[in-house]
Amino acid sequence: MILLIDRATMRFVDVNGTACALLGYSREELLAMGPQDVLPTTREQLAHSYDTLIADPSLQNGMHAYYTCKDGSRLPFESTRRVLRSGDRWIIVAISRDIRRRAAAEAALRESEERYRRTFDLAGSGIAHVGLDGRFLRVNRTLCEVLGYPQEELVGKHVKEISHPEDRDLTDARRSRMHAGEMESARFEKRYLRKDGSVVWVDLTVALARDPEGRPLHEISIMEDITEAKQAESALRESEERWRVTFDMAGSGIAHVGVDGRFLRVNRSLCEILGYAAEELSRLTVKDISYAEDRDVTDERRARMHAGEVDALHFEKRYLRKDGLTVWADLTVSPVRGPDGATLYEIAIFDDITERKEADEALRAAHEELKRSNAELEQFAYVASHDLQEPLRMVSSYTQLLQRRLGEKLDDDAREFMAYIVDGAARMKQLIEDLLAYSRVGTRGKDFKALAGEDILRRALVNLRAAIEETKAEVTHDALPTIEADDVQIAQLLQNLIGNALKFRGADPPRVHVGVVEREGEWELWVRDNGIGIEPQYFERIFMVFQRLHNKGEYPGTGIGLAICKKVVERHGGRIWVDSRPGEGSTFRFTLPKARHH
Amino acid sequence: MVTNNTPVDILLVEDNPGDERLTREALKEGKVFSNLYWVKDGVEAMEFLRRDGKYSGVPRPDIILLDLNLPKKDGREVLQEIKNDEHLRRIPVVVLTTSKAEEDVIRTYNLHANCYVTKPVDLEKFIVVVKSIDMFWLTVATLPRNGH
Repeated sequence: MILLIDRATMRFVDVNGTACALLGYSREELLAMGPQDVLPTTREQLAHSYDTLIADPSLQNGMHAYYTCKDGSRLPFESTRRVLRSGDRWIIVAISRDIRRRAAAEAALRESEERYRRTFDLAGSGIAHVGLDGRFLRVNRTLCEVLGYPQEELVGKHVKEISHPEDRDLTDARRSRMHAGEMESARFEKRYLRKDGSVVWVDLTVALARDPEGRPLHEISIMEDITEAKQAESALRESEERWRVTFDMAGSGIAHVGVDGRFLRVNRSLCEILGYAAEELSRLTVKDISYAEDRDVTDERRARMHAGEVDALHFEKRYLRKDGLTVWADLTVSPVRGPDGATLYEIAIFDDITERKEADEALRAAHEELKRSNAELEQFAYVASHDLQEPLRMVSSYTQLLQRRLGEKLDDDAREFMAYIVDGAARMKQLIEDLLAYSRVGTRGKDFKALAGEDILRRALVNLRAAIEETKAEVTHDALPTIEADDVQIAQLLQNLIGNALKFRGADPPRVHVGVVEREGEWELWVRDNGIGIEPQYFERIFMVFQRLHNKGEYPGTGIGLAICKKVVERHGGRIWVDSRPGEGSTFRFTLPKARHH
Repeated sequence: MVTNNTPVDILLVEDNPGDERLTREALKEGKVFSNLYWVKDGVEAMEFLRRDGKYSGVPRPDIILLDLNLPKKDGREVLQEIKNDEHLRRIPVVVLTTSKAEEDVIRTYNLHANCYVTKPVDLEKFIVVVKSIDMFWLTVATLPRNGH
C-alpha cells in the first residue's frame, strides 16, 4: 500500500486502494486522517522523524510497526519512506508491505524459543551449551545444582576446569570424531568436581548444534547425576570383591557343595588340601574323595541339617587326596537356604588337621608307651625286690647261725666282720622293702573312695603311737574334710610326713600341726613342725628316691619316705612341696583334687 | 617254756633247701620238740597230705608251713585244695611269705590261711617265729583234734 503524507499538515494527501482495503477505511475517511491516527506514535514523534528524513534524504529510512485498522485490529507492516518536494510542500511517500504472515512466524518462533528456554531452565537433567572452545555458554538450573556452582560462575568456565583430574581427557577422542561428523552424539560416564570439592558422577550425552550450512555452532550437553547409583554399584562391587578375595585367599579350604554332594565352587586352599585342581573337583562329589570308612559318617547329621533341625555341623573326617594320601579335615558345614527354607547349597569350611591328628596319635602312642614302660618298670622293681630278699635272707640267717654256734670259738675280728655282714644284709633288706613300697604306690594302689580325713589321720597316728610317746610330741590338727582318695596311701602319706616331723626334731619336744584350707577344686593340706628345717637348695631333691640329707648315724632311713609321698600325691592328681627355714621347722604342703575326673 | 611230750608233726612245703635247713635249725635253736617233714613242691605236698604212694605211712601233720612260690603247683593252689578238702581243712596252715606284699596277694585270693608269717632276715626273729608256731600249735591243740 502506498500512503502520501503532507509534512506541513501531517495528513494523508493520497492513499491507494490497497491501503483502504488493508486498513478498513474508505479513501475519503483516510484523506481526513493523518499517519499519527493509525500509527502507535505521536504526531510530534512522527514529525521529527520526517524532518530528519527531509534533512538528509539519502537515509533509506525503513520502519517496522503496525497500523491500527478501523476495526481496531493491528496490521504489522514494514515500510520504506521517501521524501518528495512538491512546490513548497514536502510529501512523505510511505510504501508499506503487509507483514502479517512474517509476524505470525516470528511470534511462533518467539513462543517456541520461550518454550525451549523454559524447558532448558526447568529440565530435570542438567543441560549446557558448551562453546567450541570448551567453555560453558549457557547452563540450566539443574546443571548448576549437579555441579554445585552458581550459574554466573559456571558460564565462561572451561569444562576441563571442573572435570575430575582422572576423567579430564576422557571425552576428547569421541568429541573430535563427533565434530568431524563421524558420529551424531556421544555418551560418557565421567566425574566432575563440585565447587565444594566433592565428586559427582555424571551420565553425559553430548551432541553438536550446527548452523544451516552444517558448521558446528556449539555442543549441547545433557548430564544426569548418577553418583548414588555409582556408589551403590561400587559398594556392591567392593563387597563382591571382598568376598571373592576372602574366598580365594582364605587359609581354610572353602567349598560350596550342592545338595547332591557336588563341588560347585572351591577355593585355592581347598585345592591344595585335597591335591586336586579346581576343575577336577567340579566333576567330583564329596563322597568321591572321602576316606572309605568315613564316607557315610555324616549322612544322618546332614539330613537333619537339611531338615532344619540343626543350623550347622562340625566334625572331623578323613579324605583321600589325589595322590592317595589321607588327609584329616576339621569341617564346619552350614546350609544356604532359599526363601522356602530348602537348602540351595552348603558352605563347607575345611581345615587340614592332619598334622595335629598325627601329633595327637604320636602323643597318645608315646603316652601309652610311657605308661606301659612305667608299669613294666614298677613290675620289675616289684619282682626284683621280692626275689632279692631270698638270697639276702640266706646270707643274713646263716651268718647269724654261725655266730650262735661258733660264738665262743670266733675271735673279735671274725665277730666284727660277721656283724658287718648282718648289718649290711639288714640295710639291704630295708632298701629293698622301701623300693618295693615305692613301686607298690603305682602297681598296688586301690580305687578312690570318699573318706573322712579324720579317720585317715587317726590311722596314721596309731601307727606312730610309739614314736609320739617316745618324743613327747604334741600333734594337733584342723577339722579335716572328706576326701576322695586311696585310704591306705593317704594314711601312709600322713604317717610319713608326721613321722619325719618326729624324726627330724630339734632340741624341743616336737609340735606338729596338720592343717587344711579349701581352694578352688582342691584341698590344700599341710604338716607343720618345729624341727631342724631344710636348706632351700634341697627343696626339690628331698622328694627323689633314696636322696638323703643326713648320715645314718644322725637320722636312720633309706630316703624313700618323701619319694613315696610325692608318688602318692601325684597318683591322686595333686602336688607336693615344702616351705622351710633351717632351725625353724618345715611345712610340707600337698593338694588333693576334690573330685577326680575319670 | 611250754613243754610237750609228743613231738609236733610239722609239714614244711618249701623248695629252697636253705630255708628247709634254716627252719630245722631254728626249731632246734628254739628247742621245739617236733618232727619236721619236708616236701619240695605243691604236688608232693598234696600227695603227702593224702598219703598217696610213697607217703602211705606218713602221719597227718599237726601244722603246715607253706611257702607260696613253689614249682609245679604253687602255694595258693595248695592252700585252696586243703581248704576245699573236709579232711584237711582243719589243719592249721601258716603261710610263709617273703614280703608283706605277698601277704596282700594271698589275702586278695581270700583263701583263709590261719596265719601269715613274713620270713625274717634276722635269725633271732625267725627263732621267735618258729617258737610262736609251737605256741600256736599248742593253742589249737587244746581244741578237739577231730573238731566235731
